[in-house]
Amino acid sequence: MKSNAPRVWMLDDEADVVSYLVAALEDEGYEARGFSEPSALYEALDAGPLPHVVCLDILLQEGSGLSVYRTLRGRPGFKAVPIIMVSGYSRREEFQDGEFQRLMGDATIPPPEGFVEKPVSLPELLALVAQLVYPSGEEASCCAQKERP
Amino acid sequence: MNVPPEIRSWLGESLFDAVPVNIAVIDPDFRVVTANPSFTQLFGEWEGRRCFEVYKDRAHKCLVCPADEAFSRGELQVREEVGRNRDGEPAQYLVQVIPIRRADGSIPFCVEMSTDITGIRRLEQEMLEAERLAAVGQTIAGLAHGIKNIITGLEGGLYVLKTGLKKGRADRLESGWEMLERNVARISALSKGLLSFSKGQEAHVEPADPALLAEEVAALYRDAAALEGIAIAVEVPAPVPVANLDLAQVHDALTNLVSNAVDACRMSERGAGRVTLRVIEEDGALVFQVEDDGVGMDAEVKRKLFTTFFTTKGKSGTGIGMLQVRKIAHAHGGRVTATSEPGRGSCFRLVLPRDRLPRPLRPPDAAGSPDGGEAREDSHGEAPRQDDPGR
Repeated sequence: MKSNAPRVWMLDDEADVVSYLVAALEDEGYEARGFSEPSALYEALDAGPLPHVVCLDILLQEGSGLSVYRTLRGRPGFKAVPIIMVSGYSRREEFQDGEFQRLMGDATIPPPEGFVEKPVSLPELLALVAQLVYPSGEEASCCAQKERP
Repeated sequence: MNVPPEIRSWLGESLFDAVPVNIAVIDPDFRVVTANPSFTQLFGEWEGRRCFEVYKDRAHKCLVCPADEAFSRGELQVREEVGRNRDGEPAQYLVQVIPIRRADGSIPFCVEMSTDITGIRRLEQEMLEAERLAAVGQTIAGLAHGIKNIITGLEGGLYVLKTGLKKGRADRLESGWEMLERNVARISALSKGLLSFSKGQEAHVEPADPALLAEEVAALYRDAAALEGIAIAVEVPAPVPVANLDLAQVHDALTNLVSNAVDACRMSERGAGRVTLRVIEEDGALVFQVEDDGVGMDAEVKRKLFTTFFTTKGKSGTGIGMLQVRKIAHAHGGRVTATSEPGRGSCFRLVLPRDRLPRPLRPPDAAGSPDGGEAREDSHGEAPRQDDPGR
């Protein structure tokens, strides 16, 4: 694992999903970390540095991933970090602009940058992560620090 | 209010003849003294005959007789009866018997009004059928999701094992193998849960004390919950009459609801919590209400609440519990409702209308003998319902 590798974090209370995707992301050269509880994710965010991408499962034991999403979006300095929502229950359309705000009951909240349906297709997830980590198609390890337009 | 004369005159002179309801007036000897055209058209000749002869072609009074009750109690009696319509087809009637009382308190006559409710009952039946089909659809969709999650676990196990072999990493070999084992075990648990859910359980309906049942369920969890600072209380604000219940099933439903409520308190950031199991009588329905001040549910969780295999409990939940609760509610002619606020708690209500509760297989003697005849017969193979006990 390279020390300057892009950081991809994953929150899912299915331990096997976390082990699987963390292993696969590491194999792709990312510095991957898995969390099974939101509190552990928040602690890691407090400790820093921020990840380049966060993958968030929608259903969690400690409240739903949607409330975690709301909390993350409200955190100072987190606006630049892309979030991929992962769900086995919801439809992709629910995460598009307009529909997502209705789902959240919040007209101002931005939709997530990506959505992946469970069971996760590894090539799809890896392609999406790569696209968000390297928006211009080139390697860059500091995109988490940049404010998105 | 000043009623215009033409309305008053129509109500006095034409209502009896014009309403599409069968009306007969009978004396204490059950003899029909007068009847409206709708009644005459349906039941034919009535003059000098007794109501049981006209309605049922019987030689003697029915064992369970709402008219008898109306004469002796002096109160309105409401009952559902099975009869025939104008075409000779079986029909369901709502029969209301209204006593006509003199100033001295005696009751010389009763008015019997019967309305054909076959269409309404058919609609209800169709609605139940549609709900059942929707539940089957949800079960299949839920099953697909449940299997998808396990497939992800198996795929993950294979990936970790394979890359472990390739890279010579013993840690991956071990964890990949464990993932495979775990997910094979999940398939086994899921299929067992599904089998027990789909198995048609024979109903054992008996008269039960709802408050006692609630206390029994609360007692199961009280001590263990108290250790985590969660208090479980049973509240019965007013006496609740005995009800015909499948004790094992309702026990199962309440166990599910209380266990979920305890879990919701456990997940709450506040730590300590309170679960209240209330037994109340409300608008003719027996209501078990399970309220907690735990984590509550957001819109997403509420939406998936009755979806098979939906769980917020990770691997410790199979996601069958709430569907089971709904199935038990339906088997008792009732429903489950839920209200919730994220961070503040949830309230689940098992609402069982008394006139739709199943009948015990061996009814108590007081409920009338099998040839009572007037009780509504069950014509659709569903659990037979209790008849309206009248008001």
